[in-house]
Amino acid sequence: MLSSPLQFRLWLVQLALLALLADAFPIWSLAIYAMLLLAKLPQLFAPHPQSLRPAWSLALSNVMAVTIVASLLLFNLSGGLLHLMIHFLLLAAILRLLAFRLNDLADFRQLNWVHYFLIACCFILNQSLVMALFIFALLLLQLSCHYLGFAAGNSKLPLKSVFKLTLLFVPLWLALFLLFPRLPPLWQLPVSQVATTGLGNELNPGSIEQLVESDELAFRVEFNDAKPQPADLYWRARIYDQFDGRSWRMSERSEPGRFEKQSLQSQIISYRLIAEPHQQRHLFSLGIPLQVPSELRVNTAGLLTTRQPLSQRSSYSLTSSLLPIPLAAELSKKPPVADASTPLQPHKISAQLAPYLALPDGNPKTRALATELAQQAGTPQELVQSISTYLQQGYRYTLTPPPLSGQQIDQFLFETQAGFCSHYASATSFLLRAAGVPSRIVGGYLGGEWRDDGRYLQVRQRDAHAWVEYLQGGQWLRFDPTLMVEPDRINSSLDQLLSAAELLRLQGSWAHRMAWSKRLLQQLEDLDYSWSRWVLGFDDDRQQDLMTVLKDWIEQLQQLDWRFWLSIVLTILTSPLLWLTFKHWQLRRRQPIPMWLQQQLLPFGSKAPQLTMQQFLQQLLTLYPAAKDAVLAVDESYQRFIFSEDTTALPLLKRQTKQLVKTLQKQTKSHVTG
Amino acid sequence: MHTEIQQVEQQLNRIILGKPQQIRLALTCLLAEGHLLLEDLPGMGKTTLAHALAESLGLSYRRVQFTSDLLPADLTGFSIFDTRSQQFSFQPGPVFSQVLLADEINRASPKTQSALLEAMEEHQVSIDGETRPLPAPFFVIATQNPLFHSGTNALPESQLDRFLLRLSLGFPDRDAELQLLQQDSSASQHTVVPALLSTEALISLQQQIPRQQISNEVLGYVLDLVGHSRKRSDMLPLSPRAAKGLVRAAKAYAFLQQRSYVTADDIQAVFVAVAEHRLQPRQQQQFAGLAQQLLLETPCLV
Repeated sequence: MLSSPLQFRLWLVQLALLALLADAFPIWSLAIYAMLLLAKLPQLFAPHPQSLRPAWSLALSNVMAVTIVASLLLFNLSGGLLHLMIHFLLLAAILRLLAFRLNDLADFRQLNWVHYFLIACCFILNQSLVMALFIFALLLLQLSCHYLGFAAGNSKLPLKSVFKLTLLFVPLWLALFLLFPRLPPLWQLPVSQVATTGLGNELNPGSIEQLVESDELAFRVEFNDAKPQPADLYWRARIYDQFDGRSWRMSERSEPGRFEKQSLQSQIISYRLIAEPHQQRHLFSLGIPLQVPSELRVNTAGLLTTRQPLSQRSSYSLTSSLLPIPLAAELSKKPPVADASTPLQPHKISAQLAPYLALPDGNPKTRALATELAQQAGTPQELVQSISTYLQQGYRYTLTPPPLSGQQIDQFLFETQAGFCSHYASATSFLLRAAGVPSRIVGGYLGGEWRDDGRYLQVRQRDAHAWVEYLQGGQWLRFDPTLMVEPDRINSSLDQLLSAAELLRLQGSWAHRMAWSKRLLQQLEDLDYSWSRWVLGFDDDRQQDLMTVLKDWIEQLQQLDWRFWLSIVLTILTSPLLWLTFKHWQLRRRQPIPMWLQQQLLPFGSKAPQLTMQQFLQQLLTLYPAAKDAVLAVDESYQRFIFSEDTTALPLLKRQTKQLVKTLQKQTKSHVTG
Repeated sequence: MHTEIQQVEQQLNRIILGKPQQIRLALTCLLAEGHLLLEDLPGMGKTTLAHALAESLGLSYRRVQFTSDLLPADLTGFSIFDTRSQQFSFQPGPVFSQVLLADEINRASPKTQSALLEAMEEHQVSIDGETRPLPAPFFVIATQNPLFHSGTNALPESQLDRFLLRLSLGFPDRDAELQLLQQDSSASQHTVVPALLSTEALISLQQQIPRQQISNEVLGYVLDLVGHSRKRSDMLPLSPRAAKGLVRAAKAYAFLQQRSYVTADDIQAVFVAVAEHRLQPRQQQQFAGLAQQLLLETPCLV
């Protein structure tokens, strides 16, 4: 039996808030808050209503508050202002509820507004459609608490009028959404406590396989024009160029890239990217990004980065050229390997390119193979050709390759001969470098799933991929060794290429096994996409677009021909008629006018119920003899309007009533001062 | 038109001193084509008012003093055999006049009262199987003594209902009475009252009354009043006829105020006179305040 439904609802709100805001808390404070919430339970389910007595005394609550705040300040200062604020507010709300006295409306008021604020904070941490719906439901629950707290006992929520009011506010709400200026966020979201997802700083055999096991959404793309070819859908995210014998790392070079845009004006493609938060700074792009939003940077490798780690779902408009990435501008001035006839001579290569050739010791067999292949090939292109031919012999594409140890590349190439994309990329890059061709591994995503009749492309973590870029003629050319092993990888999804056992391992979640639930999930995802695109993605640019459209529309209106103006004129002519009809209809419903008049005159005297309005006016006259003319005027127009049913007298009546009220106000004032 | 009826009113006010409201109500009753019941103690000027009304309006009138032995035929008339023409010829009774002054109506036997009331309602009488219409306009101005006086037969409710208004003149105030006494000493007892209206003029005035404007708000107030009386157990409910009469009287009253529309004030002004004798027939005007109570208890929204 609930001792107080109101307190139980408030408690539920706090529980939901804790769940929604969990991202902002370290695990230990989460535990403390959960314990505090549990401490309220015995009172909520007490057999005898003890609602008048708070669960905790105010003093105990205060002591707890001081302790927890002190520990928060000691251990959690790095959390950032927003998180600290959320911490304090939630703590205050929970403790306030523990020390809640039912009759204390001031307490209740505070609690309400803090809850509203925390609910709004949930939107900072959660952006998906499902979460938005959940938060909205939470808001409704909180509103019902608010109502319950102030309503008279046993009163029911007037659902009908609530619904009407809500409908009334929808246009205002839409207008605010469409027209309110989009301000940059006032806070920075700290990321320290949140795990990163997606491609990491390091690529080793096996890291991509782990990613592929995740069904999580990485990003979604909508193309403005035609869909690109499947072979072009190499989403570049990271460059790995340092090899230590086991894993590939990124070098910390992020000079802003300057590309000569004139030379890159072909194969242009523009698209809109909606990236899921992954708490890292890299973004995803095709080819060379040419036009990017001002908050993004492009580095020499043609990769996009954000200034802050991506902690919210964000949307960016991009334009890329699908041409190969040229060497950075400062390097291409004196092209070191531009001469295709001497590609494989390491001593000619400049210092800037040295990192792309650096290799640790070891893997002698692979080095031997590289030398052998290099002797046959004249150019890097030919070398790549011969590598692909080599890889097509007896190599296997598998998600579960045998483990490697020691001389990993040697072991892979000559013993296990089975691997995933990272294995092939790693081996190929090693071969190229050993043969004297600068190369690097690109981490990113390949392809994606076309959704909603090809309206947008959905890229998941399982589409993660690694491939190789090698330098030829001052350009970084793409080479995907995986395709040599499994040529279908580009056209078909991963699922079709894997064995049944591997597939089962991938599709561990029950939802994937049932067709109907899969369809449902897909539809939910499509909805979520629209939500991101139209609601979250409604930024300054889109607002500007809307304004432009409106402006264009108005300009178009001005260029319309005489028929349009004729119809306008007709409308203007007929509208008074319509207006009069409306007025007439309105005036027929005159019933409230006597009430209105009484209300207007209420400050100066209230009409006894049995008196007629005229008798009441006579009374006023004896009270305020100086207002005689005004009273008589109101009396006359009132008679004309109500009794003589002369509807034209209504404006007169209203005017005269206002005049009368003014006169009476003056009189009462002079009475008071006199 | 208004001026003529105003002249009538002024003239009546010169004859009955200090009772302008009662005079206006009496005129209201005639304009509304209703019959008037004057109830008061003897010697209060009931008969004088009735006379003055009839004469001022230029109507032919007959006066009948009701007694306990008055027979219906004494009112309606009878046929007698004319020996010269060997035929029955009809001798019309006092009812065949435009105004019948029925003095002390409650002294007559119920049978006679009944005959008069039939004539009032039907505007015709049936004698010897022949229906004879009464002249138009036809008013009955009845007077009655208070019921506690000896030798009275109270009018039944159904018959009281036929009277549109019941008025009581009441004692004159001191000034009016002084003037009255002075007049008595100076002038002769019966001054000639000139007729100020023709019959046709009166009929055309009466025809204007139904055309007076009355808004739904005011009708709503009427319905509230009537409805309230029906919820009370200590009074008789007001009939639809009473409501109709109330509206008609209010219209006539508004006409006398020189207005073309009825206000809520008009309703209140005529309500007591219209409703009181219907609410509690046994009680006398002076002592009952049921209609007044209704007015106080019914909220007026306009």
